Amino acid sequence: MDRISKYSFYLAIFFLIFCIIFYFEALKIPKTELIASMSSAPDLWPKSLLILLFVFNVYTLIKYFRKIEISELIPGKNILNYKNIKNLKKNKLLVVLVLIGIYVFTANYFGVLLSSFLLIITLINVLEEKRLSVIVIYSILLIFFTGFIFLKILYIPLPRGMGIFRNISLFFY
Amino acid sequence: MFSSIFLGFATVFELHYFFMLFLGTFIGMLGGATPGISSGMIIILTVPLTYTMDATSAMILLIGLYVGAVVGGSITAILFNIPGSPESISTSLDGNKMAKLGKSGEALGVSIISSTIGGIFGAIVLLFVAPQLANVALTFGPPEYFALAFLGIMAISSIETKEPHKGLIAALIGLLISTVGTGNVAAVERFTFGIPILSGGINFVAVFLGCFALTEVFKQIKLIDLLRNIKNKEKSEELPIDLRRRFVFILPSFKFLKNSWRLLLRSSIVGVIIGIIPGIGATTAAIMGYNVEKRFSKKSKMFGTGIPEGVAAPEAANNAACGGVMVPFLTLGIPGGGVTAIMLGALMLHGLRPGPLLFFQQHKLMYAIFATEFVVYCCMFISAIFVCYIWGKISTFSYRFLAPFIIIFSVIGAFSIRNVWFDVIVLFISGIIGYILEQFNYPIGPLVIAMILGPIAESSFNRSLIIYDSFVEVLKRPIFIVLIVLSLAIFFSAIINNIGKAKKDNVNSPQT
Repeated sequence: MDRISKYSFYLAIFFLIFCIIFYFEALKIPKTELIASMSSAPDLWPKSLLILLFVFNVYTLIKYFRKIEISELIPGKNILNYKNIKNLKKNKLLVVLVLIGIYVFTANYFGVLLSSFLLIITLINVLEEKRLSVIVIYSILLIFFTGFIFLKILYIPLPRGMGIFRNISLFFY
Repeated sequence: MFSSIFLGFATVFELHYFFMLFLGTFIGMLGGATPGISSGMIIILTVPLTYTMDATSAMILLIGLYVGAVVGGSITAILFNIPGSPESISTSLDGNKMAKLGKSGEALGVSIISSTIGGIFGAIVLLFVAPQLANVALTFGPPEYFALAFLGIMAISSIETKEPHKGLIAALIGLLISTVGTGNVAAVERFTFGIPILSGGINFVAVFLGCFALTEVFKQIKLIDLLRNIKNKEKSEELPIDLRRRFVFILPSFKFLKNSWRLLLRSSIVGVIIGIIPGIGATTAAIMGYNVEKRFSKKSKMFGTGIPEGVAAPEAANNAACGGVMVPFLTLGIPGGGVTAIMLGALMLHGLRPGPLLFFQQHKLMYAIFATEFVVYCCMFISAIFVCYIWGKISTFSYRFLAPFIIIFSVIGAFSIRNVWFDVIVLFISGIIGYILEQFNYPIGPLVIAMILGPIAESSFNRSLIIYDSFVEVLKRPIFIVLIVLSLAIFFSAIINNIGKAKKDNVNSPQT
């Protein structure tokens, strides 16, 4: 079985579990007394969607289940060996995801422009630009351009960060 | 009437008003093309500036911004597969494929011309049949609104993928995401898990940017990695490939226009019809324009592979809808969507209220607005030459420079909607989810479109249940029946076509 079919099968199982969990969550939605008719309760729409999602995922599961061998679904023995883990570090996409994740969860504390500047420098470096002058000049220009558009033209109050980082940001904007 | 039309054109061509229109169109196109800056944001930010202007200048500027943003969104949709606005999602299906085949200039040319033709058609309809069309729009009740939302969801689910059930699963996920927060009929919290910020729901723009902009960045980085690994294995001494493309802006030939007049007319009619219904908007018009053309065109099997017709249809439809949304707004004072709601606010700032009376009280303003709907496309055409050139040149930059630009603008764009950092976290998570879904052939277009149509579908669904005692009464409404049957026909015909194609592939494959 091809990779897409195999992982679609896994995804279908994930969605089925998701439907079950959220259906139980939907049972907790309070019904208001204002609307007397049961048919228009606030939980009706989400429950209907979850049931439909469940049905379509069962269809997906059946469709792919007919094509596979059971042995294909069991993860290989070597999936967690040292070589595979070492190869993950060379995976640019994973590195970029981690960088963006760190940025998203910390920029509110360090200030958006400072964090963005560091992110741009790191990203360009990860994407194999080696010329330091180009990296620094481009990062500075992009930050200035972004700040100009969003701060000066659109008047968006970007987060300045906390503590000393806030003081640093106040120096610039 | 013709003297009034002439007066309207004379007004728009006054230097002051024409400058406003050109400026609005140019800025709208630049903003609409930039990921992270939406048409709604530009228009909302401009409304306070219009307070010092007269009502005519204000409306001319806002219409220029709106039309410019709608057309501008298609530029990045074609060049980067990142729609600048939801209306351009359908354009990216064939437009980006054309760009990958080295025909980005042709795709942009087709987009601009089709937008112009569709927009002028919408303007003609607005000018001559607005009151009659408004009466038709009034016959649409909650069941018809639900059926239209259902039609839009079925249409987009069946377009994008060889497995329509995956499109429907993505749409259902989008509908579920739109239920998070406080319900719109009974104000109870749903799926908030006690987190206060979720009471306001999940911001659509953050999900839109995540699913398109971030997902596309992740895909391109993965591709760079893949190509790099291939180069390493071949032990080549060349530098890694940077995905550079040469950009040339090309207008379509007269022969293409001559052969496509039926396509442009059909799409424009669909766009106007969808546009005149308040609350539905140009996004659904673009999807339906693409879908209709996919069914009726001689090249229907080639849609999705990168053909100009796949760009022309949604662009003509969404720009025709720009004229269509003005019909209920001007004739009845009912905003056709978010942008016209903002324009209503702008008019009220000047002490005016659109509706039947405004035609008599502000004759010059009304006909200036009608004339603007025509002239804006001349300004759009001129602006497009510059904006397409700028973005075309940007598209030739190395992706190591483009990726940080797109990421930063998307992050700040997501934040700027509500000034809440949570939306940036939603953007990031949406990007990851969008990437995972796309890897396994789950299209993300239906997810995003369903988020837009979800609130309309749910509120219409609940209102229908409240108004009508039984489902049999709803079945007596002919427009509802037609729309539901059409929706199911579109979806199931896609499934049947795919089953047929799969059987054909099995027959043709060599026996082992």
